[in-house]
Amino acid sequence: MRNRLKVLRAERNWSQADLADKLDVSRQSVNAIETGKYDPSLPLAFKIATVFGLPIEQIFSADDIVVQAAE
Amino acid sequence: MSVLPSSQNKRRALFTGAMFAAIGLLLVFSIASRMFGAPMHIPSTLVLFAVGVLAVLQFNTLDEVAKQAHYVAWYWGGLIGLAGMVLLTIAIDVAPETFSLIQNVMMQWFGKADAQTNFLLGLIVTPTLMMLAFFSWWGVYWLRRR
Repeated sequence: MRNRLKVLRAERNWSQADLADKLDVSRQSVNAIETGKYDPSLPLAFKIATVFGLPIEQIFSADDIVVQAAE
Repeated sequence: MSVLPSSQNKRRALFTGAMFAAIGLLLVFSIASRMFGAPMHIPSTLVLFAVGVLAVLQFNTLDEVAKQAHYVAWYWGGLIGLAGMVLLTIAIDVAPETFSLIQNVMMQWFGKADAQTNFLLGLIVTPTLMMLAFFSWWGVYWLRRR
């Protein structure tokens, strides 16, 4: 799964530690999510979306899933 | 560098420190019992329960990524530890002198190498291997995510 955490964080001038503080997780956890080494749970993904004030799909995207449109 | 929100960080450090101190106390009790013959069964049991409570409290202060690291490390560390036990069993079967070597160590530490001490050794070896594999796996897993 891809994410725009690093870009969004940079736009707000937040460090990983700042974001970790807002999410109640460790700085290492933010780094793991940001670098794609760990995919967050749905509750944490929603929390991230809330912190950035964006819909979840504008932060996370699946890079290997093709969704077929219903006919 | 901030790792967790300060209050959670402090609680985690407190519980972790208390847990390791309690484990250290268990070791001290064990050594005191062996060296001075002091009966430490009741204090050891009480401290063991305290370690259990502290472990639950400490685990609850971890975030989901740290918890995942523990789950994965326990799974693979446990499996590797069990595999190590099987390999050790095979090694002892193939080369019985290995067991004699272990028995000599036991004789020096316990002063005897009877069925009870052999059984205790069996009880200790498997979780020790599992713990070693767990900590190794957890260390690598966690460091790669820093």
